[in-house]
Amino acid sequence: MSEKEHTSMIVVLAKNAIEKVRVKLSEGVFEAVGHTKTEKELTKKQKAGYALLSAALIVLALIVIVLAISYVANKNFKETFYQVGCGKVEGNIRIVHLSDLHDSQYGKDNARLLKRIRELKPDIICMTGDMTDHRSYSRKSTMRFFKKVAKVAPTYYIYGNNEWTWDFIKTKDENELLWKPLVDAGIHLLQDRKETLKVGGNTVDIYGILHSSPKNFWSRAGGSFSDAVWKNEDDFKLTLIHEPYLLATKPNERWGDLVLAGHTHGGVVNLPKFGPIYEHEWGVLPVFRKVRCFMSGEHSQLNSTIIVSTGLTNRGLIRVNNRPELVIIDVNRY
Amino acid sequence: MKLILLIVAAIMIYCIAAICMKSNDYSVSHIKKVITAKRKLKLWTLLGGVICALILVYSSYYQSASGGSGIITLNYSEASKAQNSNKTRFNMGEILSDEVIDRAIQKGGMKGVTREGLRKALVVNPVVQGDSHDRDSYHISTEFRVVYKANKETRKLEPTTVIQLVAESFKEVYIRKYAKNFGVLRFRAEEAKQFKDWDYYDIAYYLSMRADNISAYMSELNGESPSFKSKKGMSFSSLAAKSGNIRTELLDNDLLAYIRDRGISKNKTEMLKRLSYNNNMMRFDMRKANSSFNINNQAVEMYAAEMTRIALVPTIDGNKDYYMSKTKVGLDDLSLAAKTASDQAQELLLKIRKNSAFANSLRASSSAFGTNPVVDEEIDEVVQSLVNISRDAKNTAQEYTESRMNEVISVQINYPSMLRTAAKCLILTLLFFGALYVLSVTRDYTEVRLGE
Amino acid sequence: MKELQLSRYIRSYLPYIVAACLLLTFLVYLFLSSSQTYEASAVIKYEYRGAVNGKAPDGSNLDVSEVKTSAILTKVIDKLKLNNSMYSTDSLISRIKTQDILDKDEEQLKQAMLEEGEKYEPKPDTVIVSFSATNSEGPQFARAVLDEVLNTYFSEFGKKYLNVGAFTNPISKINDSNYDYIEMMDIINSSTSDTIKSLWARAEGENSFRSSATGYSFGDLANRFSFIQETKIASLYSRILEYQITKNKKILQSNYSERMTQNRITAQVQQKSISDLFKLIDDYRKQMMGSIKAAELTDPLYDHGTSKKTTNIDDTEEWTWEVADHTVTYDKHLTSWRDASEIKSNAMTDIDYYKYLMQHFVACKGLCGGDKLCAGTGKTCSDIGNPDYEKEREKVEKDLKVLVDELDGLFDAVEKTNDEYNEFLGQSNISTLSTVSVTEGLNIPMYMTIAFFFLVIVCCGSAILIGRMNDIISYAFFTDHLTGFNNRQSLDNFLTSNGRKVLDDGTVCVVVTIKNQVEINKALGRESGDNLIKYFADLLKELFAQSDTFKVYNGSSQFFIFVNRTDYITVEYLLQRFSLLLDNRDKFTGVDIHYSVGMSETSRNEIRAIRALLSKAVTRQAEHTAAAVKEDKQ
Repeated sequence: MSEKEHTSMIVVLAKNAIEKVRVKLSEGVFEAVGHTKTEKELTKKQKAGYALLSAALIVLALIVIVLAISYVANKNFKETFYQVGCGKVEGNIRIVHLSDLHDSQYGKDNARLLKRIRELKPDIICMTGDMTDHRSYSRKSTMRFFKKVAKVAPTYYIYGNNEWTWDFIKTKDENELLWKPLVDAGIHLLQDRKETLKVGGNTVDIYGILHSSPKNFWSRAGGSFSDAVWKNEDDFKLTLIHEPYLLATKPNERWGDLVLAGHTHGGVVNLPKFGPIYEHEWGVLPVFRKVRCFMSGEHSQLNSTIIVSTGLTNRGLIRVNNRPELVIIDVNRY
Repeated sequence: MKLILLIVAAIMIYCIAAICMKSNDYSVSHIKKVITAKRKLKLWTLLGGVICALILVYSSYYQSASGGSGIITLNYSEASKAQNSNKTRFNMGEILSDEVIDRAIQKGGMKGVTREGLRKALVVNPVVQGDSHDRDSYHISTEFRVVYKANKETRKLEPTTVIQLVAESFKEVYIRKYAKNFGVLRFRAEEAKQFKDWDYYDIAYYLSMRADNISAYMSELNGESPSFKSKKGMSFSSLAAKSGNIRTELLDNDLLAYIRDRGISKNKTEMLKRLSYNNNMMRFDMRKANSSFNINNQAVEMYAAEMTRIALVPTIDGNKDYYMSKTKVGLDDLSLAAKTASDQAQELLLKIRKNSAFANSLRASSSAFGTNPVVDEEIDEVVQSLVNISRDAKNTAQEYTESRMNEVISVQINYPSMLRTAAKCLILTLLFFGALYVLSVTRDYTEVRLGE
Repeated sequence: MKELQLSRYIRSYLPYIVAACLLLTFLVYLFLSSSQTYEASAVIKYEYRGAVNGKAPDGSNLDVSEVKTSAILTKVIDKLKLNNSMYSTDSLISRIKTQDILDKDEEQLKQAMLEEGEKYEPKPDTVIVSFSATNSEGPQFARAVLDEVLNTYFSEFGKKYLNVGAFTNPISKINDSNYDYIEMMDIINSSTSDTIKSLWARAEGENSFRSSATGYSFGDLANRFSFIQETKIASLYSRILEYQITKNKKILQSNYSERMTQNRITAQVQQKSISDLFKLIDDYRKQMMGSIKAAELTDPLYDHGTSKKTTNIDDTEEWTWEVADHTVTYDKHLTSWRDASEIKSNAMTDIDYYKYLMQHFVACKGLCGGDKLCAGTGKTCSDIGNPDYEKEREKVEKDLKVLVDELDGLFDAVEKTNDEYNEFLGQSNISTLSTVSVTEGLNIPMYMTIAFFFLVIVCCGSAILIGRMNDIISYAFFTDHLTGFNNRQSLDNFLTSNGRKVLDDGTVCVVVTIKNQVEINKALGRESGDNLIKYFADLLKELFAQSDTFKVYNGSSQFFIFVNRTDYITVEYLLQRFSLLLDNRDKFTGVDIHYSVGMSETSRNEIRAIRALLSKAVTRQAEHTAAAVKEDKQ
């Protein structure tokens, strides 16, 4: 076969193929799908069955798509900026709030997270617990991250339920306790105590709560907490607490000028209009319940501003419409 | 999305026209009959619908990831007159001024984003704008829409975050520029460190000046809002009175009187020389003032009475009331100038006499160099009082403005609604699919078969 | 030729009409967009008392065109950081317009005066200010420029008419100059005094103004300057005099000596002026009184005034009495005398002041080692003999620097406070009735709509024209006039254009040939022969009317018909009908018609090429005869 004949044969074959596709596309869909029975022959029940099956398949497909998108989206954390007004503060105090990391990784040793924290130039870094998980095999990467982050700005840390469980319940070996490597890393660990630092011309008193169970907090730490909050009122009062439930127990209590909390993970699955589906303390659809709940975001109670982080973790249950969150707070007089 | 609607409209127009032309029947019922006749669904129409859906979903995602908007509202009373809080003219361009953009970049830690890059991605427009050429449509805008559309430089930024940061930065810059500035009220104990090189008289003078600053400011604020009380129960009038008391009692009556009466100075020799120099300078000024008085007085004496007639003319006063006043002539100016010069001379004379009295006390006193513990203690007391009153005044003033200024600018960010976006995509997909279906119907209808 | 059917032409070109309309409308849109202009405008009103009479706050005539002076535009260009090569002040000025807004009463007055033939001079207090931008610059540019122009104008208005007297900082970088220490102190002291005076003048006028940029009121700043003057400046002064600190005693001496000489000359000159003015004042008074007395003698009612008539809006007349002012010139002379006297007196005082200063520097304090060794040298006594001199001199230099820095900071605060005050004054006296709004010069949607409809009409017309021309050309060149079928040329084109196509199933080619045409022509005549051909054509046309066909008369009594989207059986049936019709014809009944019919179909004959299909049909022709119809049948 000569080349010309070969080319013309290919052209003819291609044209035939195109023609076949064109014909196929022009055919009725029902023929294409292979639906053999005509409409008149289907019973009502069968129609309902087909409709239900189609609906179920569509819903399932949507769920899979949403989960897949969420999984990909959760690989990166979002940044939430807050502006808190306080007349005591001259200039600006920038706080970067991390919570509930649960040993997640954003790059090697959380390099991406560290890079972003550096770019944000905080004056204070606060970690409100569950940064490491008591079920994790290794915390070395997280500890390396802590060491580096402590060099960026004064870093204050409180225990969450995971650290508490590890240090006070699970581990028997003193060398495996978490507080030592934290302190060695240059982090200020606050366990029912206050520390004071100067930022610009401002004096900041930071109080960290060790365990925020309402049952024993007041008896254990009520005195030191009241001292921290009520003395030197001209200082800016910053309170760190892991579980925000304690705040709801005493709505008329003064908790400080700014309270940072975590733990809730924002309810993990967040539906538009309905909010989080479930939170183990506040139950199903907590937004619609009559009790005051601090799920996420900014709240105010008496003269305190309360910011609850949804946390940085992307391990475990897939977070839906609730991306991991890095919180940045600017405190100034505005 | 507008493109999809345009395509749908074009297809529908074409199809309707084609059907009408083919059948020569332009009635709506005929068109409806042709379109709604039972036919098999063509695969290509379904595929077209699916492709359209995918394109819409992607473009919605892209739009929400690369664009957003928010509304900035000016909530203070002067805004309705197109003014800033300090009664200067409000300029909408300041919403995206260099300062605001720089602050937003700094707040957001936006690495690799330049001021111009971010500015190009932002546009501000009034939500409602009037019509300057129609008297009934005059409008003063107090709400402004900020629209963000990502460009190459800013594409990695979250749109709602950008708008939030820009709006907050604008609020910060605005309050810094146009809200009341309380820097002059601030008096800290650290300021007293500079006193170690100053003589006691200068220290007392300085503290008096600071007390006067606070007193004047409090009086102004009292004039603005006499009924305001802080959470600690302090009002502006009470603070003005307190700082006034510091001035009269602690400073004038106690400290300054003690210093003057006892002739107290850290360096008597230098103080005496200074007083002498001051007096000499004031004598020269007084001489000029006296000379000016004499000359103006002489001019008044020279003024011929018959050279002027006094006439009454109607004038409007500040309350827009008419009254009759006399015309002003040169005599008035000359006599006023003479009075001013005389007053000036009097003032200078008073100062000279005071300085002389102090100099006499200095000469009579036994101390030559060094500090005086009594005076030091007195100064510490005054400093502490001023520190306290300054703090109270500043806090009260700040509380007062916070009640007005913290909501001076409010921001409402338009968060993309997933449900609304999904509904929009669905409706557009259905419309597009419908148009494709009608197109397939039209194609079938315009084909002619032998024997039909 | 085909009938003139407008709908057929439009239908056949419908996609092109729609596409062309959309494309051209889009081009119109592009053109209009590129020609678009944006006009930003705002309405301002002058609120101070004299504005309704067209006066500025200082009594001069208000000129609203000051909003577009080059001083203002230069600042605007600076502030907006516009490219100087693209935007000059003149180019921006030409794009700014002001338009007076008259209220109803003023409009009526204007109409009335114009009707009377009188000259109307507008005194607007409400003005529209607008600025236009091109399409490439955009509406944001128009808005930004106008906003900045108004901002700057308000500030300049306050500065020019209300807050008269600028603040300057003459002491900046004074340390780097060649002044001696005492001269520097002189300058610092006098500028401080002037500043204090200006600040108190403003504080008394507007005692409630406090700058939000600096936090200071004018009174606060005046107090700060006073404090520095009475403490730090005084201290430095006294130390310089005490220690005789100077850079060069001889130069300083010469300097002040020269000043004293100048002052003496000034005093002498002023003395002459004083004497002359004194005489002039007296002479003037005598002459004026003389003329007044003369006037009084002729008119006993003369009361040093005149009456003036004014006409109101409602055409009523009013008489007012204006006092004759004899005092203006007299006052001016007297004031001149006063000023000259003061200048002379101050000059004499200054001489004494310079002497006072100089005696400090030339005095021998006995430190130079006796015998007045310091006299006649360039150094002072302290410089020669006081061991603390150098230390004190360095301290004075350091303190001077600190003082200048402190005053620089205060002057900066004064400038900022004053600038804000200018803006405040401007805004207090000029209000904004309507903030900047931007309108488009061209209403693009409206023009596009008009263009679209116009283009629809034009495109439809063009389609009709082209279609009709096609018909004409087709008829002229590609139609057989006898039968109305396509001719051979048309067949060639058809075969050529379809030559490479792969034919669909259901494409049929029919060939019909009249075999005995020649005989029929001989028997019935040529005309009848043609009529027979036409008859055949009509029959075929009628039978194949509903189908998608291409009909050809190939000449020589041969017809080709190409039918799409049909099938063999249907066409066969039609051909059978054709035969029947011929057999039962009512024309050409007296002759036998011999004809052949051939047919081929793509799928049946497995042919996909048009020429092959035609050939097949030709070769498959079968003979038929339509016999003559007998008389009784007729």
